[in-house]
Amino acid sequence: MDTRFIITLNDQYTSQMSSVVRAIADKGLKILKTYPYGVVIAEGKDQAMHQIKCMKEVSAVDLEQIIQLPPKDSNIQ
Amino acid sequence: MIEPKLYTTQADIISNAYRRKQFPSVLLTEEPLYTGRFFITFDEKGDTNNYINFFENSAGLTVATTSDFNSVESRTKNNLDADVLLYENFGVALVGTTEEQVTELASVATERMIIEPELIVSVPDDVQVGLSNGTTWGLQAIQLTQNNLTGRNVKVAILDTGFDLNHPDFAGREIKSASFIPGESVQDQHGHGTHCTGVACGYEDNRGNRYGIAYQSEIHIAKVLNNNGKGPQQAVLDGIDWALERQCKIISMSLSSRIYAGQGANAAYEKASQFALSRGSLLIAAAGNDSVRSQNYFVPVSSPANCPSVLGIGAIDSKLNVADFSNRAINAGIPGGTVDIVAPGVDIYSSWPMGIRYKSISGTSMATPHVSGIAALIWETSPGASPLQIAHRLMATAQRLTHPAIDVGAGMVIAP
Repeated sequence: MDTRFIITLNDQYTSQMSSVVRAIADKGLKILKTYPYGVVIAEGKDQAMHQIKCMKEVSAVDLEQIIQLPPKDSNIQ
Repeated sequence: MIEPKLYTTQADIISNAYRRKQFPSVLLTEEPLYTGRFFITFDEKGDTNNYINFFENSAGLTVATTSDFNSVESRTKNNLDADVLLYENFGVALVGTTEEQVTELASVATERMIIEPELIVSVPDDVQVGLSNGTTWGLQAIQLTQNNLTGRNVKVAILDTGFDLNHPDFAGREIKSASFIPGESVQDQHGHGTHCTGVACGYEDNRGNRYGIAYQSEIHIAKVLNNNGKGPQQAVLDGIDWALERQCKIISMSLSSRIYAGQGANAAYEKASQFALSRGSLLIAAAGNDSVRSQNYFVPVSSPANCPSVLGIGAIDSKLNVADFSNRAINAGIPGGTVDIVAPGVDIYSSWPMGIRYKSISGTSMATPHVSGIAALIWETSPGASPLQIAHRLMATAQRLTHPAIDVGAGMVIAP
């Protein structure tokens, strides 16, 4: 099953988003969304994570966080 | 008739032999439960004179009846001289006398009588704890009532479970909204988003009790959590993007993902927040509710509140103590991860989707919109201020608290 990654670019490469995104896609990841401030959401195999981390344009690769509030009837929210 | 006596301690209550015999299951509380007076209910409605004779002859008590008074009001206002007030229409007597005399009455009571202590009656807890003098305790604590600011012309984005767009308290308000949850409309079927929006941008309830802060701000609702309170990080980033496109000055995020000791801030959230700052917007996020301080269990500030450029909000209670669940800045040496400021977050009364309409709940999620609402008021006074200037002002004017900065940051947010 594919995993969703949040990829954050180094600041100096934010202006080259399109070429960096292409490079990420070339490593087998499906690009789901890009944000102008240098963040890419992509989906692919876990093994791709290490490859992406090694790219000089990339500062961080994280698994997408999931937010979960407490149950509706909980007094603490 | 003697004045009601409040039993304020367990010892008071337990020492009463009659009550110990009759009500053993309700003794373990420090709150007063009974007035000290007793109701005697007669099983069958009988002749008033028989009741009077019973009290006078059994225990030597003096008796007044409801027919002795012109109206209910006069009965309430006037002190009674008698030991017993007999409600003739109900076949019930309110007895205010010494415990010895009540015990004596109990000893001669037949099975046709029920003797019960008079209960102290109060409004339900969820309202009682949230309101005082027509304003929630939280708004009073942050000194909101001392200004006339409304948040006019300030755009506030609430990223949450959506909003009850039909809530009557918001009738006439212009509300922009978008859902980033596939297949779900903005309409809030959870409640959390409606509650948070109420605190930050609402005004007052249908009885004139104020619960909201920036009540003339421009509300922008981004639904980033589904109706079960769950959402992916992408929805949050999309919500931030949407809010920035609409030039919202404040992006209030009562949401969090738990992190672990030693874990740094999420790079994507920090990038998004830095971008927001560059566009003139301030991200404000809940520190999280994972700690159990009473059991010495502390959890670090959650994500995205742990981002260095996001304002992380902890929760305090009405005694200005740190809420038991509020997370702590324990990731020392890692950028961010701080509790920047705290706000009321225990038993907070606010709007809830219709059907229920209002609810009191707790959490750093409730503390966060207090800060967001106050940020809107400050922005109203200083429309040209940068987000960092607003953040600095929030912290510089915070009320210092007698708790460590790892728990309360700069202190409690205070209204301008």
